[in-house]
Amino acid sequence: MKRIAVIILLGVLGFFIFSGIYSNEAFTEFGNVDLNNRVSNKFITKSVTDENDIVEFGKSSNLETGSANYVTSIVVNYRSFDTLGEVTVLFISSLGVALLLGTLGGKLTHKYRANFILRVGAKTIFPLIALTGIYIFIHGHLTPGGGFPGGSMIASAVLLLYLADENFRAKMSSFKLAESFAGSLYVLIGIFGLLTSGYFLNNFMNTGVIGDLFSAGIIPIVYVLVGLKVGSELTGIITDFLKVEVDE
Amino acid sequence: MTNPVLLIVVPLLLAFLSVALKNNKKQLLFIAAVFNVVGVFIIENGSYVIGGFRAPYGINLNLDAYSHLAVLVINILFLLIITMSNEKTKEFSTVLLVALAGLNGMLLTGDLFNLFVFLEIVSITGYILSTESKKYKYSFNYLILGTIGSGLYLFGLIILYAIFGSLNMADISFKMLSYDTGKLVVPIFLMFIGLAVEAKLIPFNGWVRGVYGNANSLIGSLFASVYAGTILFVFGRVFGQVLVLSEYLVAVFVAIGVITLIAGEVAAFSKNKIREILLFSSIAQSGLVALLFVTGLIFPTVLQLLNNIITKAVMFTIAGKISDDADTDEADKLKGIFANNKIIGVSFTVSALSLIGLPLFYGFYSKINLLLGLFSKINYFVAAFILLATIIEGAYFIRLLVKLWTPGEEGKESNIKFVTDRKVEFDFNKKVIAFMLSLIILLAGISPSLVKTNLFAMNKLLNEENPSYMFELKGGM
Repeated sequence: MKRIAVIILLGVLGFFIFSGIYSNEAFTEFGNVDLNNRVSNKFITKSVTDENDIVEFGKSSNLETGSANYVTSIVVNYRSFDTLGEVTVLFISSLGVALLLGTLGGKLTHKYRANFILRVGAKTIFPLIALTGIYIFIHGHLTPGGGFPGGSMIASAVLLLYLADENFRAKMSSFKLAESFAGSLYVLIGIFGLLTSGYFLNNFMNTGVIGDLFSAGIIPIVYVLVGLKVGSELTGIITDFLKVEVDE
Repeated sequence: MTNPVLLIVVPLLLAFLSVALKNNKKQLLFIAAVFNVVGVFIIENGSYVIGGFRAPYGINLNLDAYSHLAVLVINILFLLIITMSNEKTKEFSTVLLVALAGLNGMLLTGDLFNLFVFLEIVSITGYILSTESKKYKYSFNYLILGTIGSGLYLFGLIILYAIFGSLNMADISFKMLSYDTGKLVVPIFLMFIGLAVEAKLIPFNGWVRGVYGNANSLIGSLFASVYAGTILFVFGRVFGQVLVLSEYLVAVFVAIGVITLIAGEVAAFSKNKIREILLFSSIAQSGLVALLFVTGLIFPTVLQLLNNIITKAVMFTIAGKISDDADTDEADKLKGIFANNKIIGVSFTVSALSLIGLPLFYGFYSKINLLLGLFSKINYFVAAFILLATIIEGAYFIRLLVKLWTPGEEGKESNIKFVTDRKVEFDFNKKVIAFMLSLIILLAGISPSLVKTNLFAMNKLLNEENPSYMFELKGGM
């Protein structure tokens, strides 16, 4: 009975949402949208502060945001405060896992020896995966990617070591220090901007020529910090999930 | 210090540092709470952009009379609550630091997506705090409901963004004025569900009973006072000031509010455990506040909201402490418990009577204001429901107070020797702060002009017909 009621309710909700969105009443017709009314338009031409017609790769310099990657320019510059928030979401989630499982779970007691191929293979691949991850977050302002995918990749490399190396499992403490350091530095960069120019998270450095590795001001620095933080937090979550379940 | 962003980022910085400085976590929490309380008196009203990009392109913080009052009250209550339950904060210091940052962020932000981010942060800290009771099933319930709720809020917001091309509150609000709001039922309703889960409105409040009903003195008072206050302030911002609602939606939201109010009071009436009575009363109050915000009465609603969160901070702390020490919070087993704890008893009583809205207490001032507001809007139905709810509220609170004060069986001789043998020791902090808060309630009740002239920057808005505080600053655009 309960299930039928739920299915009917879901059906009603689904119909409500579907008809509301697909009636096309609310949206402007395709092709008729006035781009000047939308914030995204200014993000593309990078002309929020000063008017800018064309952004040319490798030539335009000293733009308000020097990132060649649109997504990055929005995520880490125009809306950097949201990213600080998202980093905090991950931080608090990993902390929650640690608080719950850290007190409930015990250390992995039984040992197993992975077979030769996995042991050697993991050690060979680990630096490559980690390097790719680092590459991705260092080049976050130029190419697709950035701190979040780069950090996840590093955590996946650590997971591989966990599977392969029993000594690593035993020695592994936590990355709490890296996590704390990266997070604090992100906030401090923001506060530095506040002190020097009056805006929190202001891009106080020279943004350089668009497309250069050393460009875009604080964006690459922030993305490296985000990458480190995401990497260490996800690793922490993996470590906690590997703990043995204990009956209370 | 004039930039309110520091209220958000300083607790956050200390939260990150507290992971490394494990032994000083508790002190860091205290420092952040004190910093914020000092800060709210120094910050100046205005719009503050982040990253130096003007609104609506960048994110901005909106510090107007409404949000200034909100951060003022929430930060002070936060400090008082963690001081009252000082012995319980250690384990959760980092979580509480992040929560403090998130709560301030929710209240200050002028951007609907940024609000979602802070809503996420605050709800995750809520899930973690709720695990303190070790009743994991209830926490899991809360987690699932809260996550789906904020997902629906995001879904609604995406639709709004697709229509208006902006996330800035003031920008969207302006664009909505020249738009047929009848077409926006779906996104606004989805956003409403998202906030209603946290605001405990029926039928989205399945998690409340398990979480509030098992919370200790720290967690219970934080949830019922600081969290509930913040989410309702945000609710008032989004649905009372930013989004332009069509008449049909207003009717639906008011109906949900009225149902929540009446059902909450009736449920509270049928309960015997102190915390359950309080939690259903909180649900009812949320319904009341939400429906009043939707009808456009901002100032009286804020007065009532303050009444609710200040009194709930006192009552939940006391109820939580009683159940921690006495292993039960069933009123029948705690007869006469206040006879040995007179200061605590008086504070609890003052809070309860103020919440009912008896004259001489602050609650009377807030309730008479909101009833006058409703009458001036010719909204007699809602006013009648509020009066009905007040009668039920009065009945169960007075019954509860009689049980907690008078030892012995009902209808028989009451004597001090019948006092329950369950011992509850209230520490100095709890006594002083609870008593102080009840003194404030009394003072504000005896001379409401004190509230009007001193505490509120909003007083000039008291008589305004349809105030929209948002537009003092125009979102910084």
